Amino acid sequence: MAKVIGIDLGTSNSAAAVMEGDRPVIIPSAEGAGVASGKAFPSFVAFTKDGQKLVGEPARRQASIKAQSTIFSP
Amino acid sequence: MNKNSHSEKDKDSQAQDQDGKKETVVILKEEFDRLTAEAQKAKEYWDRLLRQQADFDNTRKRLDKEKQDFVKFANEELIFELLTVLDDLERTVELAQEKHEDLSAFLKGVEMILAHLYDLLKKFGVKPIDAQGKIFDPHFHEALMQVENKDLPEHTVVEELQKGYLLNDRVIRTTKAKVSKKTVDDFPSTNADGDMEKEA
Repeated sequence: MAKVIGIDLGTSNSAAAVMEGDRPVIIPSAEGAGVASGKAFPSFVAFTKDGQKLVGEPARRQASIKAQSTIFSP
Repeated sequence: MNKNSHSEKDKDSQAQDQDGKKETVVILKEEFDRLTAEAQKAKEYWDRLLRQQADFDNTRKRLDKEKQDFVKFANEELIFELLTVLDDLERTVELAQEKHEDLSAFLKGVEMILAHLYDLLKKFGVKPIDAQGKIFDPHFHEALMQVENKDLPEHTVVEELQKGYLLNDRVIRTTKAKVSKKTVDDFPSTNADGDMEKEA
């Protein structure tokens, strides 16, 4: 059966939820949740030198030393 | 008997819906029986669906409650073990309050408690992240500060400001690290870490 998901791209945090039965359940990110945001993760994306993409927590952790290759809303 | 009249009525209302007036459709008895059976089947399925939906909701509620209970008491074993550490610390503090000259013995006691705590955490799958001197990895480390250091490779963890830990190989706390950089000038126009080729 087709699944319905909802995505919230927030300025600080983002989250995605899937409908399970009649209510939405937030999908936890593989990298773990943000500091004070429950199951949402920080709205950060970073590009590393070897062409990898970092999303959420890992991207936030390296933002201070690689601000030029990190995208976020300060 | 009852179901026959029921499906008759259904058919009638259907015909009414389409044309706005009553209409009689002549069908074979065979066909009528088939439709009646189908209608009965549909009703059965509908009932089953409702029942299963209710079952599902109940199961989910039960599982939610079980999960909450589990979360509440899953720590019991760990807490129980931690109580021995608490006992030891209390005893140490009491002793230190009574006579506070023998610092080396006091230190030894605290070290023993600390070692015990390390062992205990290890038993529960907690492992410290060894970050010192490694290249910064955002999956395990969090960069808080940068210091210039020309001798070390770019983005080496120079100092652990706060230790990080793994629980069963999942990061529960990242190492808060001081990270090295090659150049003093970190202004966007300088190509500090090779990420700004286009603008440089």
